[in-house]
Amino acid sequence: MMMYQLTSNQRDLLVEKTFAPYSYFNPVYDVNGFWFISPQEVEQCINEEFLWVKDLPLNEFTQPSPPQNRQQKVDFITSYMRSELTDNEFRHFISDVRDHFIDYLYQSETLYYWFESSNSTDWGDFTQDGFKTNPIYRGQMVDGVYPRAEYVIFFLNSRF
Amino acid sequence: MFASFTERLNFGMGGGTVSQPSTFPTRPISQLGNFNTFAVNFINAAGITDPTQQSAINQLATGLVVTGLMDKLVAIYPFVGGTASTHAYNLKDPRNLDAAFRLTFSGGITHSSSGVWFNGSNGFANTFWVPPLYFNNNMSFALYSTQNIVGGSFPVDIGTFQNTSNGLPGQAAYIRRSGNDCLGNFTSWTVAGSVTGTVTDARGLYVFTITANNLRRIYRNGSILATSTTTLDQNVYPQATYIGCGNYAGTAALFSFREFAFVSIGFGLNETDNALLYNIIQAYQQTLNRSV
Repeated sequence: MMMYQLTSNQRDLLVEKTFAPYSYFNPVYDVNGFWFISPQEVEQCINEEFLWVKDLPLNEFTQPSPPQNRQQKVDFITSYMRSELTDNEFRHFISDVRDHFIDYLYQSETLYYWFESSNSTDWGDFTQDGFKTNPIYRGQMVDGVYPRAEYVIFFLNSRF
Repeated sequence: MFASFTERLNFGMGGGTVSQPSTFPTRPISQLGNFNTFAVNFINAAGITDPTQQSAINQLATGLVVTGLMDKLVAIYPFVGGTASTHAYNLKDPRNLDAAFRLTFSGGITHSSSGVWFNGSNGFANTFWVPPLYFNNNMSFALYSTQNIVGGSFPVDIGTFQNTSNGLPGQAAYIRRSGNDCLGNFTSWTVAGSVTGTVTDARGLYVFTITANNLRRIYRNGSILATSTTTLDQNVYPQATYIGCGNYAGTAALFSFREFAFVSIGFGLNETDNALLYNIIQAYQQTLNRSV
């Protein structure tokens, strides 16, 4: 399917903005983490502030499939986050999740899959003070050994 | 008695239309013509000027009132044909407010004379209708689908839920999934209270309804397509209902590639209700020359 590709900055400009009366842009990311809007949004855009969307490049859009099992869920979020972050940021992301889980959760639907697949009772649990890492895994997470995605996958595969 | 609502334009038999009333003078409320009040309010709010569309809306509203179905529905989207502006309003309460369940459209949607076509990639409509708890075991979704399209594994045509993996808890409808499944979900917090049928034609009026904790049904064109009598109390998930996808945790997901020429949300509908509703909706679509 062909859709119009956006940069992240362009995506931010369109969120919660109308392209026509009663009609809002809805940028979505593809399987590779790139942002797109549909031909309908571009063709029907009459909002003078956003007529630049008619000059966007038309590229192939592959819709992410809803993960069907635990492995796919982990692969999906891993792929998405890697497309969004540098290697160093990605490693920190995995580590920081323990402290900022709720914030991440609401930023992206794919994170929700990761949230489900990681199972809070395994990794730790929510308390009044926030997400507390399970002591069993705290060493890997805190002691300078970042639990990379491969570790998460290894853990889940060995466990389930 | 009618306080500030004492007179109306003449929408009666004088040959006029809403946009161009007949030459007869404006009449007192007691002398309203044959246009139903729901229809007049809707036509004015949506700015519908086409006489055929006006007549169809009046026919639809009158039929729903006469049969008592108007009282069983909370949101009615006639998708009479045209643009997002004419398709956004709720016939039951055509105020331009979220609280009146006026739609807002997002993403790729095509509005035409045949209805509203969601693109299956990012198009959906927010109804702003959050089911109150008294809809437990008493709810319906009605969708008039114009195309015989087989969806993917989980293309949600209307619904809201907390979890995309298992749909729990929540309420959602899928007209024709891969494998020719037709699925209605009215779940508890932990168990999928679903009713599933087999379809080979996705066109027509599909009604997904729960009328008791042991009676979930799917109707197609007024006839029973599938029944589930498993006893399971429904727990409505109190979150805005989306059309063209599912709303999960505030995010649109599982988009559907399908065109609708009518959608309604309401209380549970029994066999008699469904027969009446189908006759009304089919006649409405025939007036608009787009019945399937």
